Amino acid sequence: MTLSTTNRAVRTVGDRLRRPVVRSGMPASTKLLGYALVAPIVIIMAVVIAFPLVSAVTTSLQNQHVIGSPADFVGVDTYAKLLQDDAFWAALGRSGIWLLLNMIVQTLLAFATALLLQRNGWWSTSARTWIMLPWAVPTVAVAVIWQWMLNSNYGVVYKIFAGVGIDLGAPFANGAFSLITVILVNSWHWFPLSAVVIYGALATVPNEVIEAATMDGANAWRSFWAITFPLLQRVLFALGLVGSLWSFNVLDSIYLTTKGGPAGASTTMPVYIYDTAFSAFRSSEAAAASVVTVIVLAIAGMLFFRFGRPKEY
Amino acid sequence: MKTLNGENHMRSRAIAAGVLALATVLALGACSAPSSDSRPNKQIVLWHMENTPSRVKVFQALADRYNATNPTHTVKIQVQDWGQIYTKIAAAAQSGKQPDILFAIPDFTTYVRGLGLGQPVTDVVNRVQATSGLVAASTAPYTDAGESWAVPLYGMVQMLWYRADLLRAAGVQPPKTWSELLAATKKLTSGNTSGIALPAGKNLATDQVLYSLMITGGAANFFTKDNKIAIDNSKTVAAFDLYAQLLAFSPKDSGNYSWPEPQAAFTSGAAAMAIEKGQYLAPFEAESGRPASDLGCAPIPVADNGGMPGSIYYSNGAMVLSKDKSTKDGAAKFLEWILDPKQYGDFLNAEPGLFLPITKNGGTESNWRQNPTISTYKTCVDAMLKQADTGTLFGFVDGQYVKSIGQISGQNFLAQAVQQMYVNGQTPTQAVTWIQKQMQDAISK
Amino acid sequence: MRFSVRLERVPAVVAMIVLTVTVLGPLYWITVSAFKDRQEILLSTPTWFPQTFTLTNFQQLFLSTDYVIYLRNSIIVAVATTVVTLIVSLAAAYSLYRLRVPGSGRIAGIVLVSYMIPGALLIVPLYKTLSGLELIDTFAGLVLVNVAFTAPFCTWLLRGFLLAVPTELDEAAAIDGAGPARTMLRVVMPLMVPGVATVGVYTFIFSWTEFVFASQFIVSDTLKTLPIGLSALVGQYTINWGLVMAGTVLTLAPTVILFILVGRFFVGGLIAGATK
Repeated sequence: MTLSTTNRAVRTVGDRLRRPVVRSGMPASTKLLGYALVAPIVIIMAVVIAFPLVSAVTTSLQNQHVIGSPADFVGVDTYAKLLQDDAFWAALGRSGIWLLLNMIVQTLLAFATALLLQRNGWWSTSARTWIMLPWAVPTVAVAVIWQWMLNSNYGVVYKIFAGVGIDLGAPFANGAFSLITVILVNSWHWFPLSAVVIYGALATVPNEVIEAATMDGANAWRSFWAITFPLLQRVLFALGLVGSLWSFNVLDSIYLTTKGGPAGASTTMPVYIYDTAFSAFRSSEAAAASVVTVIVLAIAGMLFFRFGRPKEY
Repeated sequence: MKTLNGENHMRSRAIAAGVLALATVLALGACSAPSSDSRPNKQIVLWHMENTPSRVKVFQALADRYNATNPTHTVKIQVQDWGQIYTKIAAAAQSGKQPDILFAIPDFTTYVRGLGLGQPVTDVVNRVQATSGLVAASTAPYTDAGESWAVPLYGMVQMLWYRADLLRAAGVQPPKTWSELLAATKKLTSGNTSGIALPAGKNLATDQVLYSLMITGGAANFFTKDNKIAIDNSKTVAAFDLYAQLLAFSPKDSGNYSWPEPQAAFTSGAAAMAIEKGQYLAPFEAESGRPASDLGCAPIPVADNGGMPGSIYYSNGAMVLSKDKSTKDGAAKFLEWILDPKQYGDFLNAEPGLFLPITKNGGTESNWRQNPTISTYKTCVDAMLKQADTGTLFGFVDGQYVKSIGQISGQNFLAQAVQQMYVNGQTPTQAVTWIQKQMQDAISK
Repeated sequence: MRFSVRLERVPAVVAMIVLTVTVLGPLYWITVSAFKDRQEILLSTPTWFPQTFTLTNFQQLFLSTDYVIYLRNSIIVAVATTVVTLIVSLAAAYSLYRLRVPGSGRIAGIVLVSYMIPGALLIVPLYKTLSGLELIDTFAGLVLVNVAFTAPFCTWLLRGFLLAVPTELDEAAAIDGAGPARTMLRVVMPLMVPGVATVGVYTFIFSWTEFVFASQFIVSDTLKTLPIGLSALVGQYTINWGLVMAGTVLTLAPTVILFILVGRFFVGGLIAGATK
């Protein structure tokens, strides 16, 4: 009883205070509910992400060696040192390649898969379930199994290619190909997620629209670009944004296969950061590289949002 | 209408509070499990990174046996992963959640000490030395400023392994010198068989094999007296040159090999020789389908000019991290108990052939010798023990203790130099110049 | 006519075959290899079907590892992560995309930042945070971290489902005198079932395969999850391939069962979520 009276009093005061602020006409109770509902994710993100982020920024302004050891404040010296490091720029460049090729390979695979899943028949029906399996294999196993299957002495994939006269050489150990091999393995692991999302998007394109286009004499290719693709834009945009951020920071697929080798050929930014912090014991440089990475990704994300966003988004 | 609205407002507030509370409770409490802090006082927490199921089992069985003797402190084992331990121990140290005993290898010890952890265990080492006698190579890399920083527990040493059947078929004698090794490798390479399988990935496996050849070429010590890098010399060039020449006869995807691939190539008969530690013994018969006598071993071939016998020697030890006097004593008691011949054999048999005794009496008085793998391959085991006498490790040669060795082994510079030759086509001279600069930069930064 | 239709199908059939081989081929290979002995698995001429059909690998797995404990722990962590993520992301999505509280655009953007930070450097400070909350070596801590990485994506995914529910329903409910909370629980949520299934399976798989956080923030053997057990099988020096394959099969098996049970919902759910 007391409680409800108090509540009412609080509410009245609250309403009076808030009413003028709410321009959209959203009732205070709705607003309160809204903020309460969004609070858990904000709190969890703050606990898990905010402190580490602040800590990374602090460390990047020091000259810390072994992570967590005492260090002095040196301002932006670490950044100056980092930006002069060729290895840093090389890693950033490789990360660009990594991001681009992963997106291309996964989108192509996912598109092809989605188009096939859309069909009728037993294959499509059953594939809708098993297509997701590669994604459910832990990355540790993905890395070990692909190295094993691509081994030149006993690897089954290697032997199959050799059987049809294709010599795979050294898939993980060739300077020119190791990054591509890792990208393909990573794509095998992750494409099912995109495939299923695109499949969902395709399902919304009304069959009548495509049929009408075909009647008009448009060939399949043109009707795809003119009709299907625009309808997919919204999904592709969102997938592109989240998916790119995600794939940029992939470390385990690379570290568990090539460790960034041979001779640095697959050292992307996350590998560079990990090695700098935990192999070279230059924590501050690693922290500075992380901060730069976040900034680069944020800018890229904003540009993507501004120019890549479909009109009706 | 107004009242109804009021109720609804109240309800949204209640629900809002409820959602918040539920999420928080679920996230923080509902599924909490027993915390590690609730351990009794008289317990020692031990971390080891030997997470292979067979080793986990043996170590746990020994801890159980020890705990059954009613010791002052019981031992609780928590198994960790070598791949994760560098971050984990750093994080744990900052939160004061480090274990009381931590298994280590020499360069990892320098890292852990850099975190401000580790207590001297000189008295324990001295006692074991007095009662059982210690292999010199096992204690040296843990000795700094007159104190011991880890109690050695087992050693690992490399050998040249060869397939006796393949050598016989090709009419090749086990090589003793570098030139014989190269000639044998060439002669053994044919069709689907590689003369030798060597790692050339960016990893510790490559570091280790190359370093063994540097030792037998007289280039073991690449530091000056005041701990500066002095790897740019003709002996290192010769060892690099040999490695590069051998790699031409190793399987073509060697550039990504670490430990398992050369071993699999060797046991499956795809390669005739390999340079590695004693892990080749135990699975040989099952994986190759050949009799044990087909697994041959020889000391690592030495350079034709000025070479000396030797091999990389990994002394695995235990650091004591607890500062508390009684816990420290409890830890010491447990470690000494392990090294007692009565159970030391069982401890070594966690990985028969790979784990070699570091005490003089451990090889004779314990039941290590009765293990089927050890008795089957007795000659090779004896050869490994002999090799151990001339074993050493970079950064710790001849009583050195280079504190920055972690930076050098952590970044696998030796392996990276191999890749410079193998992948980027550098000459051995260029690769040695490259590595000299890399190492200098690494310790100066 | 008939003929031309058949001809048109050729590329599709070829693509189906290629896709089947790409996805199921490796999984088939893992499975049959788990039943081979140590010698056969390393043969330079691979055998398509186990010549030495053996159960040793599975036996050894059950005898020498705590598979059952890992399985139990993985289920606890995955289920808890799924439940918490569902609550957190449903609530957030409803607030951001339905109620559209002031500043929702900014909040949605900031939440995405979690995917921009390279994970390597998060670990040590995160350990400190968790340690301060007494959450190191607890399932709760692991669940908390998992949720922080699944909830943003799930909130985004749920957006599509929410936009699919016509706002006229809210207005009708308001006219009937229902407040915002009642509208949310009684009117909108029941229509979100496909979305819940989608987010649920996604989160489940994420925590089922998650390795880095689990290996850093769990210390005790009794709290380890399946990916940690699997990585231990790989070993430092020697790999017992058969054992690793058996471990992979048994790590994958529960998710296969899950897909068979709810796979249909999942795919259906993703469709609804992605397209609206």
